Amino acid sequence: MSTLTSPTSSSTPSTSFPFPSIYSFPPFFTRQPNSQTWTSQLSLWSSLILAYCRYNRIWRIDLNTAIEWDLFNNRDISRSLKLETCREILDSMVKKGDAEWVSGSGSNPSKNTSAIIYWRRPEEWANIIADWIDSTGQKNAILTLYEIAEGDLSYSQDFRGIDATILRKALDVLIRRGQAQIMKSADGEEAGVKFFGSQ
Amino acid sequence: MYFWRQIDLTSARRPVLLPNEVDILVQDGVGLYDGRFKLEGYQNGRVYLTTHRVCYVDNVQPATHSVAIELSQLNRIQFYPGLLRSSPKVSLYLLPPSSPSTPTALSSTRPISPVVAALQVQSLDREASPTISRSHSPDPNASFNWICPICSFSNSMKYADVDGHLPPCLTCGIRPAISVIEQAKEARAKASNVSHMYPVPLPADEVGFSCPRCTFVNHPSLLQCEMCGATLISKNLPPVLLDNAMNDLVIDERYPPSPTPPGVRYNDDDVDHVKISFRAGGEKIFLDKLKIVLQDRIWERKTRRKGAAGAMRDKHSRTSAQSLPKLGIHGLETQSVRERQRNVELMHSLTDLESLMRKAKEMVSLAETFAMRLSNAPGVPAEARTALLQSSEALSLSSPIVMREMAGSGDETFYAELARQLAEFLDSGVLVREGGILTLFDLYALYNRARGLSLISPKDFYKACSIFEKLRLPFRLRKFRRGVIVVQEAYYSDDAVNSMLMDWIVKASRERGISLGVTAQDVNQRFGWSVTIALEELETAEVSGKLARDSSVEGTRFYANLISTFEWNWKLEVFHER
Repeated sequence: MSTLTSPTSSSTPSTSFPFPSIYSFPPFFTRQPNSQTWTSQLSLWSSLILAYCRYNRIWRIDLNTAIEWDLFNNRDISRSLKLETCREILDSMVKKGDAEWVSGSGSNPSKNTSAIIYWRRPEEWANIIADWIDSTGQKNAILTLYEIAEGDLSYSQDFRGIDATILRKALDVLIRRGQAQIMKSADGEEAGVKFFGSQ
Repeated sequence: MYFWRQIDLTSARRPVLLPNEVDILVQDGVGLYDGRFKLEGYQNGRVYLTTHRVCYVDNVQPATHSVAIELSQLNRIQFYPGLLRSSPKVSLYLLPPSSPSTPTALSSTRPISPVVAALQVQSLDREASPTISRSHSPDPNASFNWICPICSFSNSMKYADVDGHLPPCLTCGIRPAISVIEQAKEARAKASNVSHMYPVPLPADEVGFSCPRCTFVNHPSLLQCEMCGATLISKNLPPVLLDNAMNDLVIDERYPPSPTPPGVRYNDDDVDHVKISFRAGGEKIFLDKLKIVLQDRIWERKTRRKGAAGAMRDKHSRTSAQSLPKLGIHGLETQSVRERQRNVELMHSLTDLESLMRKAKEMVSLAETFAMRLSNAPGVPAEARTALLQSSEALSLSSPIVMREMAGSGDETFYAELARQLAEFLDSGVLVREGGILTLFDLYALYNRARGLSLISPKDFYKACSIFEKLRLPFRLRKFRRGVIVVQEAYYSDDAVNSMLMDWIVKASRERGISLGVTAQDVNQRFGWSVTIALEELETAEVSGKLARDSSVEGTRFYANLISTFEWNWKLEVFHER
């Protein structure tokens, strides 16, 4: 399963991302004390993070390494976002449903360092996967999770290399709708998923 | 209203003091009476007792209803302690007006009612008495009495002897002081010359007589004035009739709102004094101080001194202009005398602090002359010049220091006076130098430095500042979010200051590019506000959402807030989705 995890969270993403002009505005990197300004700043940052992650197909952000990314560092104006501000932004994204903390070893939520970024919500992924099953004629077929994320048929799909946790959440949506079913192997491990046509 | 003269006020609505004049006492809540009658519009004000005058400043209409009486005009004073609902009053009995002892050159005042003045001249004219001016040419052979201050024996003396050496007292043999003789002479003159003390200022050709109302000189055969139609009073009327005619006119002109039935005669007692009614107390102190001032007769001394000082100043200006250096032995002598005087003054002033306080005024004028000389002399470093100029500025307030003892009764008068002086102090250029805003503690330090040695407590200072707006002075206190209190001009609203700041920041960021914000130091340099105030102003703008901050290791910069207004549709711009 570890192969399903995106490798991008440990390496530096490419820098061709077209940053918006607010990215070169120095106060953008300082947590604004005025609550109104801060609200605007928060929503701008979460948009930027979502766009950046989608552009670079990043599924998870590990704060300890991500803080070095050019997303949070504008070297042209030598400004960078502080770790606690970054955490605050992710917190607000989690509240809005744009992200989710991956619970680490400790139970203390402030020690969370890793977050899944939902640049598409699980419901959207579910729709996309269902459409893909339809269009590729794989109804009633049983696919492994690996086949969905890394298989030959999913090569040009948006969910190529999708994070296992996100994929599982999308499948949960489909199961709730009655469009899929998890198949378990003899030893109780989840081995595959069977898709039904949309009713 | 005849005795009172209109006076000029400072911007803080205090009387403009004459040279060498010093405030002694202020009392709020007083009203004025002319003779027996209330003066309308002069019933709610402050009375200032100075070394030269008694000034009344109205609380409601200070610009038009502020008047003064010169102390040199006072004859005697009387005190009425008040009874039941009638307030205590101090009556000031005045010398008859236009008496030669009145130093009219003392102030630039003008008589309020020229009509009455014209009347007076008329009435004097009618007396047709020998016009002897008592101070200029008394009969040298006439004699007067002076009372020896030692043994109180009444000595007789001729006018002719006054200028020579003074004879000793006939009983105890002690020579009197010159002031005793002067006073006796004046008293004598007052007593004997009532009937013929006024020089008649009428022109030589006495063909007509002048109208009592408009002073136009009419032909003698006319009964009514050619110009204004007023009834003319013939010079040949019997004095009793004339008195009546006069008084009627005076009543008409002077007390239009008075409910007194016409034809009531006023004796002299009614018109030769004014009363000050003390509705808020303080009459005792006022009376005491007034007595002391009248004893000291500072106005006489000062005018004499002023003459000498004026001559000295003339000399200075002449030498500094280097146009007419005084030549000859006399010039050298006066110069060495002056040098010696100055040395003595310097020595005296440095012996101890108390005498320094007493000599403060002389020191200030000395510092001023030094500064003037330096500014004219070539080759003096600019710093030395400005330092000297500022030190002499710091030494002197434009008006005498307001002390707690000066305020007649109650702390409120004291605070009000203090606030007024502070306003004058701010107005004298202090606030402009500081960019229109000054923190309270800076002002406290500056003002106390200007006060010199009689420092003021922070509590009194704060109380005085907090009543600026109540007194309608052009300044106000403003408290910033973090508790910094500043003094600024009242017409600068917070919004006005803020939008001024914003305009500048927007313009500056347009000129210098977006990547440069402004720091508190930039604002300090641009507007002259202190850094504390600049920071407070910036943060006020930040709270209102107009500015955004950028904190980095280099410090905090402020930018026009782009964050709140920035719109970014990332799905469309980055991924070209709808």
